[in-house]
Amino acid sequence: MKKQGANLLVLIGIITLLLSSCIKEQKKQIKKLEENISLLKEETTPIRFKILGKTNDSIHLLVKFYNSDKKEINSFKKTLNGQELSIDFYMVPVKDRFVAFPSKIFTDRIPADAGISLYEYYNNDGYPGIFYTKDIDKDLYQGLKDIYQKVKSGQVDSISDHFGNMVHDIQKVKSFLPENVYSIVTHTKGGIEIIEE
Amino acid sequence: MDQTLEFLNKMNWFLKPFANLIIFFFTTKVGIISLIVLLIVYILFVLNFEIKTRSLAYKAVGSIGGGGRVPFFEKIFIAGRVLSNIFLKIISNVPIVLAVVIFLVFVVGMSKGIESMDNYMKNQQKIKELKSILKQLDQRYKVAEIDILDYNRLTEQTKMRIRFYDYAQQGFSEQTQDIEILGNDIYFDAIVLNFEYSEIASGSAKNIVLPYRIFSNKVPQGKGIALKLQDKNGVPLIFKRKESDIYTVEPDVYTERIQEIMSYITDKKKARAAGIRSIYGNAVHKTVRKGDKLVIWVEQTGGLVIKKAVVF
Repeated sequence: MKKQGANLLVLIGIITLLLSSCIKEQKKQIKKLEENISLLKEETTPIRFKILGKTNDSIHLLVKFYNSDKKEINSFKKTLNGQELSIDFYMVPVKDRFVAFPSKIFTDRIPADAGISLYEYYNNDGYPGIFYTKDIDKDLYQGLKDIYQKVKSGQVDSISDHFGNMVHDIQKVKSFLPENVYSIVTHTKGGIEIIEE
Repeated sequence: MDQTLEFLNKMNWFLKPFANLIIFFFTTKVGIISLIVLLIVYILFVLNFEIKTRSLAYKAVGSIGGGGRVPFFEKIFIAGRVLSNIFLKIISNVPIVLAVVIFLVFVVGMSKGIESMDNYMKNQQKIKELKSILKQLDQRYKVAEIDILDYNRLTEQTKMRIRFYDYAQQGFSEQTQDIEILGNDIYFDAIVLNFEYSEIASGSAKNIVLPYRIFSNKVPQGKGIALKLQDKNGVPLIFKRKESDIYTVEPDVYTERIQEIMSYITDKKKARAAGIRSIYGNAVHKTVRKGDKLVIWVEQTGGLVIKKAVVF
């Protein structure tokens, strides 16, 4: 009887130990999965804009730029010929995500080559100000600075898998409305979205 | 397995408080101090009782001092005797003490074992759910492939062939559209309907992309070339989807499905109710050269992505 009791105790002990080590592994796996999900859901808002006025031929707008701490870093007002407003980005792969550099603003009547270049609006001593944050890592700072310089000057041959990504309203189905504010949201997987606030 | 776990959990309902009490008394500082205090109180109680008994004896015989006062050295002797008695009692009851200890360890082990098993099963369930969410969010699906047939540097004209992914067929359509356009940074334009993450994560919806025109760095989007791909029945391939890809749509009413999507685009309230968080035009673009082959993807986390096709 005593021997059976002792055996049972040993068995419970072994099972508990095994389960504990399995649970430790499970927790690691759960943490990793949660991190991956949050990375996929990660999004930033480098640009917000407001349509100040609209006619059949022109769009009057106010564009604001924000850093990673959501602080406004620059803004401008422009009137553009056209009815559909387009905001173009340059997407560059960095490690396991895409980094989006706002590149141009143009319309349905202005071709991309004749659009307004946006690079200088967030230029902070050669660093892309939209990525600035208080706790930025030194290596990341330098890396982003180098990529920004290349993208700005059009020397992108050394960057693989880069592409342009532009978002715009559609006059016939869903147009940007005067007095409305819109956010441009960039995703780590390379997508860009317009969210009406 | 579930029934067994349920039974064990019921058993643990009364085992757990007892096990927690044991763990508290034998593993925490406060618990150990409490036990020591209890032991000291017990010793003091017994000691007090012995001294009082001795004092009564002194009173009874009318001894030295007359007041029944026990001499100091005798008090020390009584204290020593009480302590040694308690110690000897413990020694003589070692088998019982051991049995109690084994019983306590058994109770704690049993309770913790059941708890660990329950945690293990719950974690497995959570891992399964997280994997499913990750799979849904991490998904991307093809929209089109573009073959760059030619680019003339002198005239800056680009010739290309576009093939669309036909979701009803689960493959690329045999039909193609050839386009010639000025410029070599080619914009592939589409209407995008992005659903809320929660809709995508649960697998109840996928982001929808409806490609509709091509333009370039030299040609403004207003003068872009419309995409005209249609199937043999005249239905645009861009609208063809598997039923499961579109939210709340009946299988056989195809036109209703299109109308449903179109109503999301124009009706903000309806779109919100269907779980759509944004609707907008989205064009991905890339500077091309003759021979390039590009693939356009829809990301489930939002937006379009263009990449050079991998050649094996």
